[in-house]
Order: sequence, then structure tokens, then C-alpha cells
Amino acid sequence: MPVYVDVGRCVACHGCEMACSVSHQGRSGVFVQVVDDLVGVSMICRHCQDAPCIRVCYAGALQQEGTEVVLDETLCTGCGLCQAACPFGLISGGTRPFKCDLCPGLQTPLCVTTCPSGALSDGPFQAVAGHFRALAAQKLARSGVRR
Amino acid sequence: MTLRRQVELEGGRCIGCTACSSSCPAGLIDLSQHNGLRRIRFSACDQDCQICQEACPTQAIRLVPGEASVEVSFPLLACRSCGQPDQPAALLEHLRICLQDILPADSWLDICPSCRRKAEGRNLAGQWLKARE
Repeated sequence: MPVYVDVGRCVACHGCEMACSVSHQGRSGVFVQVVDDLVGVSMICRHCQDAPCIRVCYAGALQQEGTEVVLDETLCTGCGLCQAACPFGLISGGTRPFKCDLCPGLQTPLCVTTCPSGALSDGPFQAVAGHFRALAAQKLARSGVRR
Repeated sequence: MTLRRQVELEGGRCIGCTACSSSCPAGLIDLSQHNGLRRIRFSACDQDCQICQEACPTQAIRLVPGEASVEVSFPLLACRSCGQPDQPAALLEHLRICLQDILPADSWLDICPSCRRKAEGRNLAGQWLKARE
């Protein structure tokens, strides 16, 4: 399951990028954008259903495994087609492509554990959406807004 | 001694990707990119392998006896958003064919990856800003 971001909570600290590159030999699959010097957005491979990167990979290096898009570097020819095909530009690395692998071997991806503001979450979409809605409701209750 | 071979490109099939240059174990295929032009130079080969031929996504490469170097060049199309050189036209056309069932009319292919991230960041942040109003 992909890592979801709650945009309003991201403080653009780049901790997720750092955690990713530290745990993946200096390569990061996370990209933090700051929009208008105001909003931080952390972007990570969405593990698309019917992913364009899988469609263009003729070497079979990119495969759908359950809900994940998995890159097998041993089959990769380094053609760069997946990077040119990703609609969100979230595959990095030039001739040695790299994307979010959801930290195999860890229960929770490292970017999610690292995020100090709780902006990143992984799990089934419904559960994550419910979690983010609950956080938003708490915030609203704290601010004392009445409709 | 191994027979010396050279590359022969099947007319018009090469799309200017980086598969052969990043696969050649002897580093005999040189890729360079300057001033909006991608050049791929195939030096004559003395290795006993077919890796470049097998790696090619369009089966454009044939290895034939010979000593010559072969060079192809591709002008890089400018990104629609930032104007920086991005990919060869033939490569984008190849992607367009692979993705024809899922590609929207206003496709992302002529935008460079960095601008795609910027656009998506703006898109997500815009949703959040609207929710806050």
C-alpha cells in the first residue's frame, strides 16, 4: 500500500527525503516540494493501479505485486523509459532508476516513522483517510470553531 | 581472438533511449548530451556478447562484422513548461504508443519530470488551500 500524505500537516523539513536516502544507499524516492513558500508537499510513488511505468517497461523489471509496483534492479536495462513515463515524475536516478520500495523488511516505511508532524501514513486507503479525518476533526475542536 | 564487430542500426528504429549505453559491460557505447542534442556513439566492439542488442527496446541494434564507429544524434524536445531540453521526440512517440489506452488528450509526456512534480505539488497544495478557506 502506498504512503499517503496529509498536505496540511507537512512542515517541509525534508526528514522523509533524508530518511529514504540514508536507508537506500544515498538515493531518495521521496520529493518534498514547497509551494509558494507556504505549503509543503511530500511526494512518493503512488504505486498506481495500471501503472504507466509498468506498461513501458519491456524488460519486466517493473511489476505489479498485489497493491505494490515493484522494481527489480537486476532486470533493469537502464533505458530511462519509466522515468519519462511516470505522470508525477517520481522515479529518480537516471540510468539506475530508483523509486519508493515501501522499505521491504520494515513494518512501516522509514519516511512514515521519521515524519515529525504525522503528515505521512501508510496502510489501506480507507483507514488512512479515516485517520486524517479524525486528526482534522480534533484540530477543529481545539480551535473552537462553531458552525 | 574475438572477431571485431560494429553496430548496425535498423533504419529509424532507434528511439534514443539509454538502454544500450547503460548496459554495455565494456563501456563502448558513449552517451553524451549537449545543447539540446543527445549523441550516442557506438565504438567498434571486441567483446563476445550481445547485451546491447538484447537490451534494446525496439530491436534497433544488429552486430555485424566490421571496424567502424557509428554515431546517431537526437535533438531533445523542450519541456512544455520550463523550456529545458528533455527527451528525444522518437522516445516520446514510443511512449505514446505504449500508453495509448490510458493517455489523456492533455498528456504529461512533453513535460519534464521536475516540472511534473512541481505541477503535482501545486495541485495537491491547491486542494489544501481551498479546504482551509
